[in-house]
Amino acid sequence: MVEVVERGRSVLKGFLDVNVVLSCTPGFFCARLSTLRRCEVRHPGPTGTGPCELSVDHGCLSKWTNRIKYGAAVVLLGAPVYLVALVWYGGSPMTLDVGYAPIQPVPFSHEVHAGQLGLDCRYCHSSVERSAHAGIPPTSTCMNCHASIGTTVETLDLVRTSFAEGTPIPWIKVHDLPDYAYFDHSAHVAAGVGCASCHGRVDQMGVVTQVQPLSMGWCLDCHRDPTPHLRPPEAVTRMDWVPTDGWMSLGSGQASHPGVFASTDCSTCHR
Amino acid sequence: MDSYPDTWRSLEDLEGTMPEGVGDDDPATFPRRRFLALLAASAAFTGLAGCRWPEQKIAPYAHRPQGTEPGVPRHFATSMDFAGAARPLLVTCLDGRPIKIEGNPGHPAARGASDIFAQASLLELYEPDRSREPRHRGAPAAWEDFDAFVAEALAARSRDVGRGLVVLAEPNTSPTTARLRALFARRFPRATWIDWDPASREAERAGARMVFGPKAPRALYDLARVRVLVSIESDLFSGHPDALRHTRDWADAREPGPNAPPRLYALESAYSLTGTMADERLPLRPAEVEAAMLALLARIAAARGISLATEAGTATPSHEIERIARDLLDAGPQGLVVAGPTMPPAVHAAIAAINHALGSDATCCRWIADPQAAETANAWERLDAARAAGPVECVLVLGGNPAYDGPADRDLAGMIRSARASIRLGLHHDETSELCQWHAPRAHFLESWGDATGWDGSRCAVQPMIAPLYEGRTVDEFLARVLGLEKTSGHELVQETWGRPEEWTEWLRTGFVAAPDAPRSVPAPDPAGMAEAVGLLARASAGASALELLFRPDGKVHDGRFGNNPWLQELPDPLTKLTWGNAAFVDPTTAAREKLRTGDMIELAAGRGRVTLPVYIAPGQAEGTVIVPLGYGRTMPGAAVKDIGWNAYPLRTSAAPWRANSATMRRVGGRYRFACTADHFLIDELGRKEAQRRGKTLVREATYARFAAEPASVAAPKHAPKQVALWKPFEHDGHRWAMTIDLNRCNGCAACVLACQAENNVPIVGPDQVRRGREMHWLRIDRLYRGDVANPKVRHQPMTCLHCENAPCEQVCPVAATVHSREGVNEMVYNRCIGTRYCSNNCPVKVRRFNYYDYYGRLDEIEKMRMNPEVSVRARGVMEKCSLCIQRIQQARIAARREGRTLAGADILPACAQACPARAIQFGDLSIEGDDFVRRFTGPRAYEILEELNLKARVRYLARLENPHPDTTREADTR
Repeated sequence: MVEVVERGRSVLKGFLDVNVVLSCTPGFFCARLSTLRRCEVRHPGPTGTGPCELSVDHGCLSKWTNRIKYGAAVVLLGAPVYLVALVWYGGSPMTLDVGYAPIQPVPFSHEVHAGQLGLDCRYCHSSVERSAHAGIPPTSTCMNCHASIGTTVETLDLVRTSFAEGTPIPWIKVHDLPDYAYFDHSAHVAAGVGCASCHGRVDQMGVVTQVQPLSMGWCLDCHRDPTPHLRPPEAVTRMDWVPTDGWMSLGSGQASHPGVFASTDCSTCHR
Repeated sequence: MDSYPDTWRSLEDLEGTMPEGVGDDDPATFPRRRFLALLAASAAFTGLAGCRWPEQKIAPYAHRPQGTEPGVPRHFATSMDFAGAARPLLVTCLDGRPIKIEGNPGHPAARGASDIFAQASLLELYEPDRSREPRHRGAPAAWEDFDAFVAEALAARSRDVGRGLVVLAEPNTSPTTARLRALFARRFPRATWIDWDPASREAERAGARMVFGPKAPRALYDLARVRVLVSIESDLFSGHPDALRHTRDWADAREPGPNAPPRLYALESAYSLTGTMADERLPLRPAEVEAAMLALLARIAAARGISLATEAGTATPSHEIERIARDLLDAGPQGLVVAGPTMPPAVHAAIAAINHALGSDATCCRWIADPQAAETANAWERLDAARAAGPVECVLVLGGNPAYDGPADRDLAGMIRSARASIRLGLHHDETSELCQWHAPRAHFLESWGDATGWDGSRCAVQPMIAPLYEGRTVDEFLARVLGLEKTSGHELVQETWGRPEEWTEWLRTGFVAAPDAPRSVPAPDPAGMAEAVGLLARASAGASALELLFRPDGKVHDGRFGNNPWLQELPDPLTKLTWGNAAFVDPTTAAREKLRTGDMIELAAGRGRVTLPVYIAPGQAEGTVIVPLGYGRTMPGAAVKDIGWNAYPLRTSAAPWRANSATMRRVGGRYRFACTADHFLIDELGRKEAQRRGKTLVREATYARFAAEPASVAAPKHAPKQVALWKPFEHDGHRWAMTIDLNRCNGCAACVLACQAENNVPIVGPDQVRRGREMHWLRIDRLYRGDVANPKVRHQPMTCLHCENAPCEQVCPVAATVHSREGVNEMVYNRCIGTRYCSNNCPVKVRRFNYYDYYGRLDEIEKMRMNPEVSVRARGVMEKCSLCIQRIQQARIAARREGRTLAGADILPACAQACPARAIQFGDLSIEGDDFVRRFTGPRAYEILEELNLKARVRYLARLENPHPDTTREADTR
């Protein structure tokens, strides 16, 4: 704490509002100010014992520095807005999760298998119609074909080792829901939600990438009005399906799809 | 409802004093500053931890076994061989690990129901304190060394045709074990094999032998045909190997309908679950029971013109016994008398005579050959002979725990210690293993191949749900190695015993093969045996001491074997509501005379044994008795078992296993505070008074006669207030889930409580937290006493979330963490909950539970395996409560949609309803007009508790009905 005396008159008791931003340890302050131009410091006692009297001529520092306080105000007011924006957008699954495409231990290409070869999703993800989990295929499913195809390809070494030794392939999970959200694949497939609605055009992905945020808001968007995402049950796994006129004529709203029960009760997903 | 007698939860409640520890929270030990510091630190660390998303791995099968689908539960039949009979089970396995146990719905004894032991055995499988490897004098060792030692020790005995070889085995009902045991006897003819079960039903068997000869058959009770049932200290509805069947048959028979309801009399020293179901209960000491039996036998024999060939028993019976005798004689062949295993053989013999005189041995019983008849007789004489013949060289202890639970006068521990070789196969490295040179882990039944015999003689399969977690071996596998058989795997051994390969798969699928229908050949009691029994009864009832010290297998830890099972330890005892430990239960009169209060320490002495333990005054207990449940006070290291309760085995002798006549009781200094839940959830004095006032109306009851005359009056409130809702009425859509709890069926066995705990990942909190009123059970059973302390009536009331349409909890939650679903389920959204606990304060039935600590914070990988993945594991600071098993509703809904069916209420069975042996809990859909369930929900016996609060509860209770003898004062009606 210092008192500023200007031409013998006390103008401010406390922190200086101009020129210098103070932190008031007596010794430091006295010493520091006394080195400035056009300042006069009177020490009532020995240096460093404070409080000191300080006489400041306007212009101790350059005049523009007075505007710093306005800048500080802008920063202070803007910071919360910025932080909210940062958390809101930066922390949203849209930013953090969409585009997640980890490198898998085996460079399996859905583009080749589902796209070019046209394998149905259910050939590998065989439990999707009966279980909550679509299921990652056992190595033996890979070896159904790869026992005779690509038998010397190096990238399949891990698959062959797994098959021979019975050890699992440590795939990295791409679409990861929190543990308190109970998503059931079979319920959605039975209702006629296409694979592509959530997983995107997997048949065009060399490396599987998350394309939807899988956030609660995103789930609820569909649960409030599922009809735009429904298709005939037989077309669920078709990647390139587009609604036909006949399908569109069924109309929207859950009433037009009697097998569909998209509830927004909390317990639909949280147990 | 003011006509009911005083209803009270505990003696403190009756006296109007606040129980110890109410409102005893400990905020002072946790200063606000420290809270804020932790808050800041946790926020900072959460921020840091959130910087990276965890990478999750998926490890699929390399070769997926046929029939498995990831995430699809599979159900396998197996059975638990426990306390004299197989308990047929159906186990749910998810991704290769058992997560839930139910009764086998196909088996006529279980009919889908289960008991607390079956439910809790799941926790035992994943228990971290189970023995994990062989040990030599306590130090971990290899299986090879163990096998080498066993081979050597037994080769030495083999040369000596088994002389000096003693086997102490936990009795089981396995035909495979019996086969191996026969081979063992051939290999070691001079060896002594003792079946040691501290809670055995040997007295029952000995009584039968007295009148039916050495090959005495076993009576199976058919309670559906009984009109008058007299229970002498029996454990018909809990503890009996066939308790599930009894419970169901009796509950069905008591359902109000066109037929006259049966009547139940109970003569017993301590309140039992059977006694709580009785229309008339007489608290009698065992000596008085013996006198009563004698009087009853004499009265009935006289009426039927049967000579007892003895002068005894001609004393005039008391008017109660006279009434019971007349009622039995009126019922004739539909009058049945049964006694419990703690009654001396003479009582059982007398009962056989009474039932024969009445003719109910032909109509109400089925008789089968007792598979264990020969094995258990004269065990101690044989052991004494073996020990007298020469030194005991080698002791094999297969299961059991004789060093802890052996009788005080037999010194089994000393015999084990002094043997040259002692070998133990046990689930835990326990008190007995401590004494043995070698210990090897025994496989849990859920990881074993085996077989077992049901009480009704059905042949039950035991198949593994998971590979042994700790390389344990079964008794069969151990014996096969000892005998040097070619086939030593349990699988092969059982197959060999089974012997019908073409029916093997079907046997495993159904889990049992029913016993062939035995002809109802009724054995006639031998008059000489009857005379002997009468003589014994006369002598016993004459020479009774002033204080009878009685032992009982504990209702939860049984003989102590479930000691390290925290689910059972924390389960409130159905009658005393004690958790975590036992006590010396003293009757109110004796307690008043000795000026004892609950919690005072006393010393009990019998023979050379002395035990100091606290007193618990038990209402309804017969005057002049002290009862100590067995199975506590163990010294085995274990998270839940060590130093919990007091060990009564030192007081117990092999000659008088259930009753010490010359016992003395002495008061010593000190007090003990029980972890008792009887008075929990009181807030303050005002709350206590209100709870007492309301308590009267919670359980409604009437006699069958009044119910038949004016059915509407039974459940209706006396003064139905006009109710105006402050809130918009609840709008439902589609299904309307609801539940009914039939108080006429519930006998308080608590299978529902543990089923709920297992299904919903409900944590355990430990005795200290229970003392603070922080137990977590979603479903509790309120035990209400009604009437006089000396012989009050007991009413059980399972209490769970009522799923009120007008839910008080929802109205006060500031963050909408508890909300209503369109189908009427009061939902708890854990992620929204910020832990204000307003909801719990506002809940009129106090069924909401708060996670004061992170109870699941420190589970090891094995323990985690038992969690039901269909239910979130709640963290600290979150409220939780019954969800009506919402996961089962959703699973059933998804399955129905998948299969194109409409979802029906019958597709859904909450865990509590599934486990209930009495079918007291029913679940259904109110939206289906005319459905059976809706009729029950709106029927004359159905009522809503606390209807003056306008809760519009979706859980309704059905009033209890009593069937007192017309001669007794019609108290319930005239009051």
